[in-house]
Amino acid sequence: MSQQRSDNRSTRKVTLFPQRDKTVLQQLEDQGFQIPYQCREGYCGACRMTLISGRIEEVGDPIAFCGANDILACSCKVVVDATVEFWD
Amino acid sequence: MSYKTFNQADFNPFSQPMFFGETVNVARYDQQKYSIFERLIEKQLSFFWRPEEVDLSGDRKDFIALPEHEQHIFLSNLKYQTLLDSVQGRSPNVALLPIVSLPELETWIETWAFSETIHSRSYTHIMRNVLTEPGKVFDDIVANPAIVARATSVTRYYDELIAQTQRYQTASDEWCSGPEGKKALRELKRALYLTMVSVNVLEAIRFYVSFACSFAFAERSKMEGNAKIIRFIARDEALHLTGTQHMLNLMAKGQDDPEMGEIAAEEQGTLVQIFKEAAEQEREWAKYLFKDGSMIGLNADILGQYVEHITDQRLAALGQQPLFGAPKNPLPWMDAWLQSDSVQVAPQETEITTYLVGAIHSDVDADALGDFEL
Ligand code: FES
Ligand SMILES: [Fe+2]
Ligand SMILES: [Fe+2]
Repeated sequence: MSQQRSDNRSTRKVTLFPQRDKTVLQQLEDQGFQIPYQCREGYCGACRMTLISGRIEEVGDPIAFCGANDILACSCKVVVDATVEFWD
Repeated sequence: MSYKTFNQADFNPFSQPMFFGETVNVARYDQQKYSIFERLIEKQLSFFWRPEEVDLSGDRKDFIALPEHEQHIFLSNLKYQTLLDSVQGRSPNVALLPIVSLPELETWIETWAFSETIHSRSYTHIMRNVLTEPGKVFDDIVANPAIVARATSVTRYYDELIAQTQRYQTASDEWCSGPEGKKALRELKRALYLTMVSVNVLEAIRFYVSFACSFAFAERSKMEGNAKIIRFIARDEALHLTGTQHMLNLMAKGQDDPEMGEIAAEEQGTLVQIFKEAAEQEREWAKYLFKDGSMIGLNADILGQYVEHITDQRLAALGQQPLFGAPKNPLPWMDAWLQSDSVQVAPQETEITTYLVGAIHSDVDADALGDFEL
């Protein structure tokens, strides 16, 4: 499931399912991934990752910069089964 | 084309680009072209804090007990932070206010720079509490070659933008609308874009490297008042770097100003070069910090790895490829100190058991412990 993007680091793709009371960040943490974060409320951008497929919804009016295919893991929930990619 | 404090021209204030359109007249926020700047302002205001509220009485004892090379690390790092915030407390205002064209962005710039002045005031608060003669440390910022070298690299782009803006704004309207003026404006936009990149490097890389040094002391339960202040600063800086990433992205997309979009594409290589140079300079700085010896948990090597990690992370945020293979964070404890949801509490206090240990120790006079090493 992981894809080599550079010489010493790989990215990881994980598929998540809708969970009402959990953000993407919490879901990934529950699965044992260590995702970097600073604010957990959408303003620092530390938890930014790529959304490969699926649908998410924003929670809590995040203001951190987010590219077209990016999401802020701390500030969104899964709506339709979503595959996210992040540095492992 | 001289600056107008209150532009009386008839124009649509909501259709201006971020920079180099009409100068702002009415400070109004009822409609916004980019609501993100209004939200950044709100957030920054909600973060308001005062350095004097942080108790630094324990830090003086800690500082006196530090070995000489660690005092050098602590003070050099503090001097560097003082330099960076001296720059940030004024340069966004001096460089960007004369050329900004949107009221919400103008106010974000002012709010941003104001928060930097709080950071500057906090360094005085720290030095007064920790040192008998803080004046000497301040004086050294302009005398010490290692610090002066840092100053040159952090201010270069700001100064270039300011100089070019002054030339442009003192030229005649006729010249500005002619071919030479148009060319000058394009170069001015280039200077602005590169300044934004270098500001992002300053706040998102250089500052984080300095935070690592501050927190490395606190990780060993030393200089904890200082770390508390740095956590407030880090929370503000997270917001500032977000603001700059938004501006850089709006520029690069070219919808805000098509010419700026072209310039961003032309300067992609320069952007990467600025990040690369900054990473090299920060690694050099790490060598200076640790020249007389390293400290537990941190040395020039590890700090250098952190520089590479944070540089690649910031590049990724701007859609750029990693320069150093996106290495993992070599300082796993950094995240705990940077977490701002618990900014009022030290990370070790969030763990009940260690908190209790700390509570017992805090009742013991530090002198009574003598040479005892934990
Ligand atoms: S942790 Fe700050 S934006 Fe998600
Ligand atoms: Fe600052
Ligand atoms: Fe800042």
